[in-house]
Amino acid sequence: MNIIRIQTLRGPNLWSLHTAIQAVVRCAENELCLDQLPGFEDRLRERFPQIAAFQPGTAMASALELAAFGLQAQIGCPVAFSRSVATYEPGVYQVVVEYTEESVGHLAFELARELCVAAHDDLPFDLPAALERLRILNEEVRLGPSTGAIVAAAVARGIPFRRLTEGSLVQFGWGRKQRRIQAAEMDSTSVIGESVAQDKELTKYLLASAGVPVPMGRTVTDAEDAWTAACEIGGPVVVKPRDGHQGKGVAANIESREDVMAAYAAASEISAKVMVEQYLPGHDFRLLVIGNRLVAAARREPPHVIGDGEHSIRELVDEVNSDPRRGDGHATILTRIRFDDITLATLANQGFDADAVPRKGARVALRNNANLSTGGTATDVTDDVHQDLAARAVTAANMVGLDVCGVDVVCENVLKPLESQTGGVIEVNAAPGLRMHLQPSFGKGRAVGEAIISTMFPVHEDGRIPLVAVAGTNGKTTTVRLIAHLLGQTGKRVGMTNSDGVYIAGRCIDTGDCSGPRSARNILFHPDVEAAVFETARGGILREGLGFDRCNVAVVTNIGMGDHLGLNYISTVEDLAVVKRVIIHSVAQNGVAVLNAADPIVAGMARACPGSVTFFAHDRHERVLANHLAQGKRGVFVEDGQIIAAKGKLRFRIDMEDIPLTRNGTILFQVENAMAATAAAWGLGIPWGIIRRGLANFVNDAKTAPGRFNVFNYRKATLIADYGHNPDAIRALVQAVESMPAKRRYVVISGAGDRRDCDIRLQTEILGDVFDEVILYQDDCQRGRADGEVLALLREGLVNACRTTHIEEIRGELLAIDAALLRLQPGDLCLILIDRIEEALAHIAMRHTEA
Amino acid sequence: MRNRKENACVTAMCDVGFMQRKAIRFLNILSLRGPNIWTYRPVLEAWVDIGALEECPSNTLPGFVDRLCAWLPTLAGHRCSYDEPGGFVRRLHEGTWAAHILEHVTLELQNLAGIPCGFGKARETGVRGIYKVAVRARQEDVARACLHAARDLVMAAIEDTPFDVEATQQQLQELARKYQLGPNTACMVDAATAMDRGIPTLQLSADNLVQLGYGSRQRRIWAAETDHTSAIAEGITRNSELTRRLLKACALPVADADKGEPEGGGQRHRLLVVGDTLVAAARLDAGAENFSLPHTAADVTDQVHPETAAAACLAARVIGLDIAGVDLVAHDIACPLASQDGAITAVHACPGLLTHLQPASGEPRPVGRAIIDHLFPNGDTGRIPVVGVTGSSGTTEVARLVAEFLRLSGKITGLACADGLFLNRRRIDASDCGNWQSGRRLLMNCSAEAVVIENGADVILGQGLAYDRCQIAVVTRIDPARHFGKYHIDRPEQVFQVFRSQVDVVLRGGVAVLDAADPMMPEMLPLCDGEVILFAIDPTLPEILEHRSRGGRAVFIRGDGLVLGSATDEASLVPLTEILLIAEAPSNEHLESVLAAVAAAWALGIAHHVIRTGVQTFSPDSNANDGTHPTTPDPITPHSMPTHA
Repeated sequence: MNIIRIQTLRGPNLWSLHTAIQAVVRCAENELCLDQLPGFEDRLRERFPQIAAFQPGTAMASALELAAFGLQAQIGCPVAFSRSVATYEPGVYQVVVEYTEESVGHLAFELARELCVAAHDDLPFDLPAALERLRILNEEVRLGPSTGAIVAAAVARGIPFRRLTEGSLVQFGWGRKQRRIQAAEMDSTSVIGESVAQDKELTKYLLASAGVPVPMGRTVTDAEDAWTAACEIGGPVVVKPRDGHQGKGVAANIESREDVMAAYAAASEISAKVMVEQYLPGHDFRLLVIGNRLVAAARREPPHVIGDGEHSIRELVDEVNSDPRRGDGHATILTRIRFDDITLATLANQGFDADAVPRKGARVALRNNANLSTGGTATDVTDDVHQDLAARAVTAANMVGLDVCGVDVVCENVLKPLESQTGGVIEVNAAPGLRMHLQPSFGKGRAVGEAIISTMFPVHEDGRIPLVAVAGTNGKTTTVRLIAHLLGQTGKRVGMTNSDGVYIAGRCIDTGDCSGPRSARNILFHPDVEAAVFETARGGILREGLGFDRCNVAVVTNIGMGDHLGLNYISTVEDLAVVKRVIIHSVAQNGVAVLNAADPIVAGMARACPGSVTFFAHDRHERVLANHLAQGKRGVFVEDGQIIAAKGKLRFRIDMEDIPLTRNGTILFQVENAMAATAAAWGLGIPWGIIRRGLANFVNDAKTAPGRFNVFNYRKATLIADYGHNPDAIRALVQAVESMPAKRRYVVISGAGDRRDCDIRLQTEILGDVFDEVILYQDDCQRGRADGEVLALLREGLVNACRTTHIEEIRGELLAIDAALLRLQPGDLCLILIDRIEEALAHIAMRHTEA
Repeated sequence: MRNRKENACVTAMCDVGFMQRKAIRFLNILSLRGPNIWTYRPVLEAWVDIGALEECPSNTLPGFVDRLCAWLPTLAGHRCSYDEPGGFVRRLHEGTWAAHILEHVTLELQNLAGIPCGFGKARETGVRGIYKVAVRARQEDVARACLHAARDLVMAAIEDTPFDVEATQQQLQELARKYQLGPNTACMVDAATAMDRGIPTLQLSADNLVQLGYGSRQRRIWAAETDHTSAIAEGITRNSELTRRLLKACALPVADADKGEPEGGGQRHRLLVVGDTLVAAARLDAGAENFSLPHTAADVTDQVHPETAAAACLAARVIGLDIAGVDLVAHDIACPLASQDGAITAVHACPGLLTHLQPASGEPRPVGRAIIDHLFPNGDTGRIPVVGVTGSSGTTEVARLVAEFLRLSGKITGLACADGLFLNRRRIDASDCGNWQSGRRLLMNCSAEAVVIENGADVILGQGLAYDRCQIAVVTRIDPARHFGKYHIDRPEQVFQVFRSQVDVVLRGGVAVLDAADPMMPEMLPLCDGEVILFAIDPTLPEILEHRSRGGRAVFIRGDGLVLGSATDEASLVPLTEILLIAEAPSNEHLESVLAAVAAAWALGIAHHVIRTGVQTFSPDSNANDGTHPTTPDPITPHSMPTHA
């Protein structure tokens, strides 16, 4: 078995809406049917017993698929989809396996391959080690519990998200509407607020100013001063580093001079500044404030064990740690209790050592601080919090200037206001851990992620911007440009990708073929973009899937006879339709698919659309369109020189003469593009006045739409430059040309080497019936064809031409253009099918100026 | 705001007296942290006993003036009462007294320490040989150290003993540096407090954390970061790989990951983006390391190509920063980046502003002002309604009434008065809170949408006002004799000086509420920058009639009703019988309090029906607490402002 290619499908794709690994696998002769490969399945199941059952007659590609899937499932990745499909090439399969984490998916795929090889060659395979590798990687790359909860809340609200790093930086929403979080910080979380929270003394000053109870105390200069401060305060004190975190170096409830001095020494190791403050008796509580609201509260307990009169403290700790809920980091509900010097010191304070056996029922504290990260537990008390106490927590967050804030309170209980007990706020934390509220050790979990999301996104806001995806064989680029133009007329800054480049509010920020998912993602990341229109070419969909999860409007202009057939195992028009249909699957439930009713394959996509459908066709009597209209659904067609948008009895009419793109309706393919764009704009809810204005002032010339039916007047002859390069495009051009007056017709054409022979031939077959003279050219780039091969095919297509009387062959695109121009007489028409758009247009423009 | 016509330097009359030691003794040093009887700015007020020196003006001390001028040659610049350079030295030669000399030397030492201060006054008290010396204190601890050093220096000059001026100056400079705001913060504070912005500032920590504006309208700055500077964005800037990737996604030109600089080379530029605008650009001089130091970069703000400016602004947006320093490399900043392989190399949160404030060449750019205009757009001053209440009696009652009106009008209202510190009905502190500290607490409180602060004469004399300016000043009845004997106050004119401090700070659009029956009123009225509303029980008082005839407003009793009177109209607000306070304890004092408070509420634009409800329901005892829990003395004492030594 040979893996020829592995790709990562990061968005909705040919196979499913899930993220997936896609591989092309070649199986050897004896691997095509596992039933006939003796002992393989047994050896495989010996090595990985949990692998799913095979279908009879399965090839090894399926074993690979099921292994890659099963390995991920075994470590708890929530995967559901996998498939393997034979291609038209014998022995070659496409294997698709869903992943939840890209790198985990790839590793699982690699391990699955190793597993298959091991089973094949009867070599050992260390399954536990493999699963451990996967598990470790998964822990490393997947979102932590805090970020994960926020992302889950966003997903539940339909808010799109995207991880910007392998860490916890996540983008929610798109373009102008995007927001970001990083763990439990929002993008609105102030850096000053965080600095203030870091400074405990300043925090206390601000809190006290606003009447939030805080413990008395101050920063001390040395151990002696620490003791002085303790005496000033009187009673038990807490000694802690001023700029510490996670409770390191904190000593609480100490009173004696020796203890204070020792605590100072420990704290000063963590921070140059040490604080001594009043010890507040009671429990540690964490109050979580998000926005202006108390969202959750938990009582936190330091790790401890209860004696049973039999086991040593060390054994008791081991027993507690054997709880499967306890892990080693932040990823699990609880963290294992560490047995370290701090533990031993804490035990020593209680007169124990690690091997002491506490009497039954004795409570032995293992640490003084209650942080989850050192083994503490949390009990949800959200519903108990007194309103005044909650108000103090909110005030504390406001005074520090944090919109997500963990307020640490010490008090007897939260049922009473702080003022009625000796309670106080001891610390305010930025980026608080959410684990203790999401999955408290005891009590109810709280919807903390939801609270953060609802602070960033008001109830009916999903962070999405209007998004239109356009696919089809021909007319995509013009349709995309026209829709973007109509959206732009509403005042929105429109991001657009097409096969020419990336545009923001009409400004080109990148050039080249940008019809793939990467450009789409960049548009959706751009902070200025308020609406997006994407050309979605097949290449990107096949290679990586869509760059977005959902669109408001999806347009499929046409499939016709197709283009690029034979590439990437897409050999038939039906295969191609499946690719183009991916955007229809991605239409939102309240979205619209705009489909060409005259193209049966496109019309058939309507069934795949989760939203509604708007059909368009020149002829309102087109069966699919007529049926649709009869049902009171939306359709767009041409009647009496008007484009008419109809729904039930509603009619919106636009005169063709007010759509310059269509040249008074004579250029049928532009009429189609205009209908598709009109239907899309209708689907977006753009007012008709704006649609009319936009259609009227849309400019389509060599400058704005290079290679898209650019018309020039050259010495009283008509020149048309176009990038059409497949039989359907040629047919459309021929229709347009036939509607234009001309004495003699000339065409300049080459063929792209990566098309099928029949497709190349067909182009000239069509042209030969319409054009008087044909100038064939070939350029350096032959896309894998031998010199002259393409020219020969083009010539073959002209063999039965009814109109062509003159054929020339020229090497070099520009020379071919010149040859045609030389022959041109006033009143003639010349169609130049350009290949290198920029150079050819520049050349034509130059000749145009000369003339 | 009027100029106070006082002699800056009052010489004490040398009278025949008893002999004492020739010495300068500080009897008391008051820190007046807000507007006070001397000036609008914080000062130190030292009570100085010059003992036998009272007999010895400067010209009688052999060699003193020469020694002093030799040690502090810059004293020659002091104008003093002659209003020309050398004025003070002339006074020294003609003979002036030790307290006056102490004032000038203290100011000069502050200047030498790097904290330029202009304001100083020395005045004799009623007690012979004892003076009040007031000096501007931009930073209290530095001013205090300068005051002590000045005493030692003057004494050394008098006694002709050695004094190490240089060492003293160094010590003071060090101290000043320790407390001084960093240049970034300082330029923003200066821009905020500039006359045409008038945004109040409060330093929250010695570590450059500054509050701009009051209460709920406040914003905070810390160096070149604001409370809107995103922590996540700042984190992104610290990850150069991530920064580059995000910028690249938006098609911004970025430098190669390995080299950190674009291949084509070019000069390093720093573009400062504030909000969504390019406000300054600097080009690093050859040989200079980075933009952190002054005088190392040329200002090129006016040359930046608009596309490059747009790219810098987009970079700031992509990262998510409200204030950003965008570093880029370009051969010519006047050309688009794309035309010259220019690239963005880094984006900084908290960019240093010095490079733009003190360029090596070209114009300094008002970047502090740009940031302030961004934080407070459209001339917003960040102020909430602040009501200051002063007078000899009834101030607590007035303050509580006004606070109640404000609360009823829907504003979260802070109140600092003798009855305690309140936020709406919650009593935060039950001790006497009619003081500077408590006023400050309220102004810092980000919940407070309006603030009422009671300032007795003692607060103005001993602490200063908590606010720089206020919207409403209320002066209740003044009883001068009540204030005699404290703070060396023994004459009615001095009492007038105390209470006028409150009227002086009324904002231009604000209102002073004055007692028409008070003999000091006519003199106080013209001191107010804003409007004046008079109150009196008797509507026929000539002062009321005259004020109204000139278009002024007044509040008074007519018949059995409380009336709001303008020039021509009178609106009866409420019958006296319905005013709860009067019903509970009828007296003219209470009635005057109600009149003053109603006048203030009227001045605040509070609707009549709200004021009516307020007087109908307000009783000081019933409103002390909302009753959710008993008020226990706060076990927690507020901390003084932390210092970050």
